[in-house]
Amino acid sequence: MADTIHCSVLSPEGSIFEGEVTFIEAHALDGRLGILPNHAPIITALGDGPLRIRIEGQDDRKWQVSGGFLEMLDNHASILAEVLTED
Amino acid sequence: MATARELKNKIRSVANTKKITRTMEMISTAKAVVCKKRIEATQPYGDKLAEILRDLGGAGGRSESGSFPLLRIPEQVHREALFIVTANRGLCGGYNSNVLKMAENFTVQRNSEGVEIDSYVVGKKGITRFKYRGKETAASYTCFEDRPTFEEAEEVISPVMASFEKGEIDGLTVIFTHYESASRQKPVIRKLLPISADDSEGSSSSRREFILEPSPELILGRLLPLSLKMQFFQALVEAAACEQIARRIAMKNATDNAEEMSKTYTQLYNRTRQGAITQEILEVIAGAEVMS
Repeated sequence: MADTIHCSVLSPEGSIFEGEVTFIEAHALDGRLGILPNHAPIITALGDGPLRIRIEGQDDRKWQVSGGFLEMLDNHASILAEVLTED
Repeated sequence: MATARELKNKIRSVANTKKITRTMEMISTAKAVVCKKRIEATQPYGDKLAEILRDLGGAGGRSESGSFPLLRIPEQVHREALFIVTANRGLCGGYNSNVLKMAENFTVQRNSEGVEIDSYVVGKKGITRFKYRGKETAASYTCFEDRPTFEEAEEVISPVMASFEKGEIDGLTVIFTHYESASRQKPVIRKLLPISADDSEGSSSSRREFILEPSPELILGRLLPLSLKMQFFQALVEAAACEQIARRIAMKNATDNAEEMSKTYTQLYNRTRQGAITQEILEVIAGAEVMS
C-alpha cells in the first residue's frame, strides 16, 4: 500500500504543483473533503474555498480555489481549478 | 542612372528599415518562445478535462444527456456562431489573411446550405477586413494580445454558450491558426458545439467505477462548460504563438531582403563614384595636356 498520493494541481494557464503528498483537503460543492492515500476512485466538483495539501516534512501548502474538479484514481490526484490563487 | 547622393540616401534608408525588421524579428523570436511554453502549460489541464469527461461518459453520465442544454443536438441548423481569431497587428505574412480567407469560404459554404453565420471577430486585423468588405460582425474583440488569459477567454465565450443553451444559435465554430509544431502552423476549423457524440462518449469501457460527488449530472453540468471554455482558451493561446512565429518568419525575410538590397545599392554606388573619379582624372589630364 502506498503511503503517499501523487498530486498535481493545475490551473488553466499551467501546472501549479506536482509532487507526493500525504493528505489533500478540498472544498467540494457539498462540504469539505479530505483525501488520504489509497482513497477509492472519485470525481468531485469543487466549490469556492481553500485547498490544502500536506507534504511530508514540509509546511502545508494552501490555495484559494473557485470552481473546478478533483479526480482521484490509483493514488493519482488531479485538481483542476477554474480559478486559483495562492494563499 | 541615379546620382551618387541619391544612392547614398537609399542605402541609408534600407539600412534603417533593416534595423527595424531585425529588431522585430528578435522580439518575435523571444515572444514565440514564451507563447510556446504557454501552449505546453495549458496542455495537461485540457488533456485531464477530456479524460474526466471520458470517464464520466463511461460512468453513465451521458444517459441523462437530455437534461443538458449544452449537449443538445439541433435537428435543424438555422444560425451558427463563428469565431475568427486574427491578430491585432499586421506585418506577419499570411497569418491574418489565411484565417480570414478560410472564414470567408466557410461562411459562403454554410450560407449556401441555408445556415446564417454570426461572425465574432477577434483581433483588429479581422475587424478591419470586415469593415472593408462592409460585412456585419456580431461582436468584435481586441482585448487579446500575445498573452490571452483564461478569464478573458471565459468572458468572450460565455455569452455565446448561453445563447446556444437558449437555442438562439445551433452551433459554434472557431477558426484559428493551429500550432502543430514550431515549423508547422495552419488555419483550422474547429467545431465546439454541438458536441458530437464520440467526443464526449469516447471509450465507454471506463477503467473504473468512480464515486461521483455530489452527482454525475452536477459534475457533467459543470464539466461541459469548463471544457468548452478551455478549448476556446487553448485556441487563443495557440493562435497567439502562431502569430509570433508568422511575424518572425516575415521579418526574417524582410531583413534578408534588406541585406540584399543594401548590397546591390552599395555596389551601384561604388561604381557610380568610381565613374565620377575616372571622369575627373580624365578631365584633369586633358586639361594638363592642353596647357603644355
